[in-house]
Amino acid sequence: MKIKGEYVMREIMGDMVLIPVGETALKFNGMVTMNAVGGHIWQGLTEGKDREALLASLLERFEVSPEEAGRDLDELLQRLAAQGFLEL
Amino acid sequence: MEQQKKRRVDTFAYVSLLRELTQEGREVTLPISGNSMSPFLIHERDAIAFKKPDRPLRRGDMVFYQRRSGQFVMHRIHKKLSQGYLIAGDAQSVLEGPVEEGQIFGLITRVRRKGEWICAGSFWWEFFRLVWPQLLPVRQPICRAYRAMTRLFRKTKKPGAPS
Repeated sequence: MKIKGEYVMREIMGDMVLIPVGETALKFNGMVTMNAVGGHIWQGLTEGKDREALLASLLERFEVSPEEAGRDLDELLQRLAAQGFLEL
Repeated sequence: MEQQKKRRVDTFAYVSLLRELTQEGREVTLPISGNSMSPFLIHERDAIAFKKPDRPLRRGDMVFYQRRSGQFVMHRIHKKLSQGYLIAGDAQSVLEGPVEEGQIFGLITRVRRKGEWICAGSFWWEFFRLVWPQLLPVRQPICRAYRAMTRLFRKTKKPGAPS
């Protein structure tokens, strides 16, 4: 999996916000807000983690069953891919 | 786990964050909010890209600055004084200032107007940089006449006719 474009993630008043910068900002106008889980997954993606590593990281960080974490992870990855942020 | 939801982010906090990113040398974008830069830039239709100024500012530049009240504003430089700049929005006929150099944190590098990114050298960019500032005293009548003509044109079109 590979992030498409250049983004910076920051926290604004408790929200994790993904902001496009540079050339990416010209193509994608706006920002994406994520909750803590989404922010954690994105951080993992920037570190080059694959699905299994992301899942392990979620299970370590959050109190959640492997089934639920896997379902939510896949849903977010699919959504990020569909919206052009990620190449699966 | 908590579901992902669409949320509104506070504008002041967001622009503060964009300012931080420009300080790191990045170029960022922001949709236009408000009508003070019309007719060049229209609320919610257009957007700007900006970065930390990397050259001396001059007349005609669009700049992002923070007022003493804390409010963030993007307007155009009309005059450089020894103590700062006189600035006004393209829709305005009254100059604000002097705005000090230290209040200015962003230089607009391009704008997305009617869906297309344009920059220095394009006709409308240069028109609003060079010609429009000269029309400051007569902007309001020009804009009123333009709006009246637009309304008249719309009324004379048949209902349902393609635009």
